[in-house]
Amino acid sequence: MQSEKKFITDGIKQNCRCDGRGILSSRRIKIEKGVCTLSPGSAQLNIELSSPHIICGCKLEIGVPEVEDEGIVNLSIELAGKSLMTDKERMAEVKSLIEMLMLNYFNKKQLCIIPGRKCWKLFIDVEILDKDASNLIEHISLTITSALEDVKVLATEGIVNKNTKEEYIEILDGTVRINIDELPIITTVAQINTSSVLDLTAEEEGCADSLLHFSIDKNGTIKGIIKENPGRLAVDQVLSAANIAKEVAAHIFSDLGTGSIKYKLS
Amino acid sequence: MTEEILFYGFRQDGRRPGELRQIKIKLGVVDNSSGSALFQIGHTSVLAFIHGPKQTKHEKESGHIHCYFNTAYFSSSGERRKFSKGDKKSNEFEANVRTMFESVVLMENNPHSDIDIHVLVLADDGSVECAAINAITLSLIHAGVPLKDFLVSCSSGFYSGMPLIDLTYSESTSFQVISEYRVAVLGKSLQIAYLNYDDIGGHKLTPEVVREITAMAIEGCKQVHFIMKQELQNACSN
Amino acid sequence: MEIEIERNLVMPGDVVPCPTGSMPGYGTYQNEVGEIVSNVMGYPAMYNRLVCVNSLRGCYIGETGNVVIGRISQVGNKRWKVDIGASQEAALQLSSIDLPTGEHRIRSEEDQLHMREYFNHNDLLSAEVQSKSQEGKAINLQTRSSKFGKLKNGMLVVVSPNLVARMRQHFCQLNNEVDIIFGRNGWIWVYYNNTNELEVPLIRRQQIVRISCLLKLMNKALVMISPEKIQQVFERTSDIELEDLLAESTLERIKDIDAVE
Repeated sequence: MQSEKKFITDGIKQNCRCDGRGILSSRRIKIEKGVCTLSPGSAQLNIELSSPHIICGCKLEIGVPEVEDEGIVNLSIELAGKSLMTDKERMAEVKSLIEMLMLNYFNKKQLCIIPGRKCWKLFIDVEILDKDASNLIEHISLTITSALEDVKVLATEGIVNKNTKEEYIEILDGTVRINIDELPIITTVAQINTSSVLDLTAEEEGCADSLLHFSIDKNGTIKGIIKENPGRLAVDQVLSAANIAKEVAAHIFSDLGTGSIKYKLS
Repeated sequence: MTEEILFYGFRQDGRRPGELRQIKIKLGVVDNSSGSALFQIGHTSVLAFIHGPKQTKHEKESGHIHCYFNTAYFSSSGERRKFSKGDKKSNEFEANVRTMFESVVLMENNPHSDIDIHVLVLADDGSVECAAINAITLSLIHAGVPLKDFLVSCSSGFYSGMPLIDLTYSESTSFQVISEYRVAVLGKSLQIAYLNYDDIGGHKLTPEVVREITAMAIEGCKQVHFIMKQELQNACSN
Repeated sequence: MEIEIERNLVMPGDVVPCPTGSMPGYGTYQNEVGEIVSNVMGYPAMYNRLVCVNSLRGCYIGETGNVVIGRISQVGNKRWKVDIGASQEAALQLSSIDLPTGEHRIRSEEDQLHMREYFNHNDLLSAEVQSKSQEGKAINLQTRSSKFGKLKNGMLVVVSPNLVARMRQHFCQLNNEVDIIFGRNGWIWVYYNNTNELEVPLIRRQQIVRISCLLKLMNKALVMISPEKIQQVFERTSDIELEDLLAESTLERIKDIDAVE
């Protein structure tokens, strides 16, 4: 085990990883939309040459808002198959990371139907099919973004009768898309010894000193940063990681529409 | 909902009473497992994967089959599901799978090995347990686990004097239809290994009706068995 | 001598066509009527009067004399438990290993306490199947030769056991000087055999990574794995950069190789 770790970390020092990549390149991932026929929006992610890793399905219901002019967004992350306590804890961590870094910036006002009375409840449900999936946070954020792009909501108009105070929801023609212009994606930059590494595999994650998750939007603005793992970082390491993350995000946003993403930084 | 179940002899999705929905099978859909399969019938889609045969927890313990049945939150036809696991129906099904498959899997070949069966329902348009049983059989075959025979399953119902095969979600949940009658048989001998019927309409089952819907379900199983064997042949010749 | 009966795929529940008086071997069972029925999906074969079915897929079954690679899952009571991808964990007795000094003395109490110094939890090792108990299918390993033991300076690739061809020599060196151990259980160790250097040099590392990626692709393409086949695949794909090796296009090229043969 120790010797396997040494082989991996030496390889990273020499810029030759166990699958032939350099430390600043990712694997090619493919995202397919509309895989769940019974959901208004869904997406499935898989790494090239692998079976599907992550499936995300969205469902919409009409409910009562908590905040006057906003809708409700609910995220759930499940691991397919038997989960041990450690898996459940890990999933809870992943869920809170994604909520803080990504869904916090979701424009909930677009889900409002009648302020204070009726709103859309958007359920985002993620199923992880591979127990050893790596770089989960980044991949889940990309799957969620694609699933939200795919969602078609019934166009509605909320009407309140001024006299009787009764509410009606009128269903208009056509469907509406969810606005995700402001929604950031999350990318992870890891530190192994002194190198910044992107898109870790499961074995490499076991050797990572620290992980920095960056939440970056279309315009390249960093919305949030969260650090995982107990390793310590110097300030310039964080700054260089931030620059790397910005470049990665730019690549991802340009490739997201094509359904096939692979980035390689020099 | 008072929709017409049968309209001039045709069902809501255009099928005849004795017609199965289209079946699609894919093997090897979960890389990180011993064997896996995706079974789709109509809009119903169920994924099954196996971990095992592997060492039991304690050394000389005899091996068992464990089933973990989960339903994705986005799988339901209408509203989002409230529970994905742990509800009464799932627990009952997990216990049924264990007894069913322990009689079909040749456990004596690997006496101290456990087999973990994981099922994930991706889309529920009726007859989900039947699709799950079929997916489990395919994934066990894919994993190379020795089996006495295929275990195939199909659902049936009864409406207006006519038996219906392979029910959709709206047919299963309609109070007018006697549903959902689920049967699983061994592929060659057609012996019944599993039979489950939960009725919500308060119908009375006469022996005549039972005979007809059982025959219909077994007929469906025969067709499913044939299609499964064909798909496996095609998958292997590639 | 194994003779294939016919190239007809059989599945669980199918009766295997065979001459009367045949006995059921692995992959088959005898039903109440006395017919020999297949219990897996695969192609039937005959060994003398034994009818067997070679399963297309399955976990490692194990035969005495096989070289295997495994990972220590438990350390305890005068023996280690090793995960070799079979239906049960294999056992490596304290008495079945070679002490580092090469001695062949009887194992003492002290050795028992120092077991972790020989093999610790999660260590990878190469070993040979010493014996297999009939009823319990439990496999016993031994590392009583200097060529077996703890593995380092390399990468593990796990492929389907049915794809590892029978070969005379399981410890090989490929043409491009990459050392490789083929475990019959489908676990393959690709490594650098020089223990004098602290680190694996970059050129060797690139070769090791290249071969590992090719093995993964061969597993996906269901190509039989042997030193000759690896050489073929290596030559076919030598123009592809290491970075772009693990890709769909490379997989297509490798699939073509088998089709041509």
